[in-house]
Amino acid sequence: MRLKRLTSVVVAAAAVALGLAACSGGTGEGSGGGTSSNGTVTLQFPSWQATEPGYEQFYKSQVAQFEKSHPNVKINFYEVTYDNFIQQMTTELSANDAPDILPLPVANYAAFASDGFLTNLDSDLQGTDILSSWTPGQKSMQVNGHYYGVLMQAAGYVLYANKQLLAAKHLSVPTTMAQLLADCKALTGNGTYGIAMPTAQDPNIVSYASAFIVGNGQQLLVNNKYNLTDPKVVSDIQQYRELAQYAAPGLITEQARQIYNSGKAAFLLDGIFELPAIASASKSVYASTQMLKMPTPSQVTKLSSSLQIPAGISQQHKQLAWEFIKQVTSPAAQTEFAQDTQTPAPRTSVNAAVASSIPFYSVQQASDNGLNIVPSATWFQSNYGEIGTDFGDAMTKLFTSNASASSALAGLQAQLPAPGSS
Amino acid sequence: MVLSADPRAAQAAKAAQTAPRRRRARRWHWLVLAIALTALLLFPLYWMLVSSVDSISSLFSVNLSLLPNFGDLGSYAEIFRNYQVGLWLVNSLVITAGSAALSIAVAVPAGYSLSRMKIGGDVAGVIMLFTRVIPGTLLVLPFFIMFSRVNLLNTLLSVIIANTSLIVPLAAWIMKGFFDRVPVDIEEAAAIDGCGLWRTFLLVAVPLVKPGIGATGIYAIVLAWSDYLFPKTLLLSPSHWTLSVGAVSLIGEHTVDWNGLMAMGTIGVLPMVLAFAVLEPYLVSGLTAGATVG
Amino acid sequence: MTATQEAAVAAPGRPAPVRPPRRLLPTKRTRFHLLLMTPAILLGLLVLGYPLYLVISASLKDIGILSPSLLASAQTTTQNYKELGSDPSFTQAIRNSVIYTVGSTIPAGVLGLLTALLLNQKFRFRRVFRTLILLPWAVPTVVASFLFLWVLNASYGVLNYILKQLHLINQYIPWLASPHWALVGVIIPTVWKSYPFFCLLILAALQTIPAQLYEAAAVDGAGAWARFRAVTWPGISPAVYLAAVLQALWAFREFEVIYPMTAGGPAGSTQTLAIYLYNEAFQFFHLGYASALGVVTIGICVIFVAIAYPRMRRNLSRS
Repeated sequence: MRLKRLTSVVVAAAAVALGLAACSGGTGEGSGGGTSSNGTVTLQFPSWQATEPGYEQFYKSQVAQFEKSHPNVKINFYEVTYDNFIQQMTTELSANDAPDILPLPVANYAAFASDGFLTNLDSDLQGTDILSSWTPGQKSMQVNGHYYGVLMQAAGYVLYANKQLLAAKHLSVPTTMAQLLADCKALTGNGTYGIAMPTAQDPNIVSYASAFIVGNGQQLLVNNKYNLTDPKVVSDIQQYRELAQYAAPGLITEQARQIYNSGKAAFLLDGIFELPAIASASKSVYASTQMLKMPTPSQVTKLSSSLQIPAGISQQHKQLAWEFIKQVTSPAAQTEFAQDTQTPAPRTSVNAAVASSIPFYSVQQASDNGLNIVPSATWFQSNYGEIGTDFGDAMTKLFTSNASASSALAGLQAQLPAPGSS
Repeated sequence: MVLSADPRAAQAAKAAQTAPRRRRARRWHWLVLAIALTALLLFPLYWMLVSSVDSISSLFSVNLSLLPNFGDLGSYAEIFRNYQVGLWLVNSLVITAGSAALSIAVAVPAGYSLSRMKIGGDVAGVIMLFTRVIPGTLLVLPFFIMFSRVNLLNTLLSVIIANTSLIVPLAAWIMKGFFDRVPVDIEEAAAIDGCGLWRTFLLVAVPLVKPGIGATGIYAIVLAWSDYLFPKTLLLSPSHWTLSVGAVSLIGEHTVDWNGLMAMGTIGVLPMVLAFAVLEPYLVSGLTAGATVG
Repeated sequence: MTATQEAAVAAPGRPAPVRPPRRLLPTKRTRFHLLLMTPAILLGLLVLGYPLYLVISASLKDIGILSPSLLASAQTTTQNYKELGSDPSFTQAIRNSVIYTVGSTIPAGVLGLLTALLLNQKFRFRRVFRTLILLPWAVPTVVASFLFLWVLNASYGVLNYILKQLHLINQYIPWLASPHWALVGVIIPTVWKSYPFFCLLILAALQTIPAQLYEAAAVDGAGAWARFRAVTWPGISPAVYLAAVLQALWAFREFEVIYPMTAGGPAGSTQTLAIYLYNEAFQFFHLGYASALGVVTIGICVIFVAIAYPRMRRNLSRS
């Protein structure tokens, strides 16, 4: 009967689809590394940088080297989308299905560490020279006095300038904030803006605010209490607000960067990591881009990414993961890192030798070694997500209204998580 | 216009023309309205197409050009070159087909039983609605844990099962409504004819609810195709990703490939256009009886 | 054709006569039906059982990042629920959720009704338009939200451009950047994604209304609006009601439209309960508190279902 044939066709199609679906999972590798029957150990190494230019080459080459020197070990280095990375890692750690080598954006590092999800690396680190040869930022990786991760990149804040746009208005590169503001004023109009910065609610707004505060010599915390009502801090924020009026309204960070890459803004305040991104987005803008020091009295940096080992994995995997980290932090590998990513390596001693392959080396180095915009208090870092959202609220209000900076900051301070809270 | 020497024929022909012309005029104005409304409602999709081909700098302008620059289809070539778009498309298709098939396979018998067991419409409808009270983000962790325990992580099958669990409640309720309208007498006649329980179900009852099966299929296809939450949580390797996960992967930490993102979005719509075009007859007639379900 | 199929063809659409059960169903039949229902029941448990258990138990503990072992060992406390009472963001989130749900469901319903009425008319190429008008339903939500992120952009968005060209506005509106406009800004793509579902259900219902009813009304001298009230509306109101309930439940829990566009900002103006929940869980790592928020969200939905369902049943049985 026709129906029988139709039914059998449908059933067959469904069976094929389901069969394909089940097969494509292979052995259902899951996220926890395993040991297969012939003794090969597989380490799971998820990363949001797996397809970022520079970082991809570096890590893939490191994985290949490690597999060569450890014949029974395979490292599965795979991409997890940046948008999903923290949620995915939180899910995997919660489900006791942790990867073996865990990179993290340093902003989230403290929360994972203080909740006990990361392996204590104190004794491992003492067996190496890392603590004595690393960029100062590594010291900020202490949570409750212990190390749970190794810094892989400090990211200094710099000022990118589009020389072509400046030359068109006969402006020179600014070295002070006053000059920068004057330049921006001259450049803004007719759909072009002086500077590209996020002006809508964005996790980076707290970084910019902190950069202005710390770069001008003040601190966010004094005696473990918020310092936001200090008149000097208020004027730093006022400076930030003034600069933001020359930026396109309503943009998040990704859009702001795009504005600069399209030549619609003359300046871009961002991390040193942005230079390769400019290069891949627009050759012409890259060609006229100059990297300048931030026009503040001090240079500032924000720790970008680090490598960790989750606590819930087997001893054997921890051992192997640490050996991989040792390899990646060795002088040879660090040299490769600097060359591939065109940013200074955290192992500071290798940088001088490869300075020629790092564009604007002196500027990058100065900002990388700058003051950390994030206070070292663990409770602050653990609450960084919430603090960032509150700062974003306050600053976007200041950007879009005439409210007084001092009252906004006082309100912000009252709203922030209490000092010392977990 | 009829050219005829005979005046009476001409008069008759003219009379015959006026009535349909009036009707045709009315029909034309619906067509015009439809064109206008569709243009308005589909404008965002059109803009997605434009954003995929226009250079980003021309899109950042206070003087936008509303017409795309079709000269440069480079972004499409690029995404196929740089990303596994073909593979992601296949994964999406497999998951969608599998979800639809599994949902139908589970919902049709369930609807039948709900109908024949005289379980009140209350219970079925209430359960159906109650499965819709949990926010998606709260399902992520439990589903991850469950599939991890049975070693199904990173398989397309896990996403199929997850999708099906969301589709089946509504689908079973719809099928129950359809089966309610199939008279029991017919099944009893079949029993007298010598059909067993299975044959009665498969060969007698099911063919009579084909529109309902069509409706369930459409609903399942749309839900499975546009799903992002389960694929992003359960599929770990990029080679297993679906198109929506792959599209979002173009948003990196420092770089965003906006052209590529819009290109992938455009590619993602095309199979649905095809699916809707093929299934459109079933689409509406399928839900006809279902809308008066009780 | 067998006798059974002939009987079906001869009496299409005749509602099944209700037969009082003469005795208990034979065991073999019962087992058969239970077998048919088992897969569906298992899947239902999947979606309801374990997730509900996890959410409720996590809401009663004070934990940051969740893990089953932590869950078992942590102390039970109602601290999370007490905190809800004094949390201004919580009340703001409820307010936002209600405004967002009502503000997106009603326009979607109206738009769905208008498009359904249109697509019910006879005109050339109607089939093509039926396919096209339903298309937004099939666009992955996350792609749609990134698309609208640009369409609604405050400085370069195409919506602003068009509105200005049509002289409807003088200055670009900061759709997603201003606390006053952001909720409207996220409602726009939500309506865009929701109206096809209304259109589909209403169109199907429209097609079951016999043409004679319209003709009879016209003969009685009823104008277009009177015909709509007397003939059309009674025929479609079950569909409208059903679609409204389902869409409202969807909008209340919705996350993928709002989050990529505003993540709940600016200043919490688009932070619905679902977004607040996500932020607390995956941005601030307060999973215990997030679970309490989840329980409240579920509770509100349950109350809504309890109120709406009886009405829905009455409406459906009247048709």
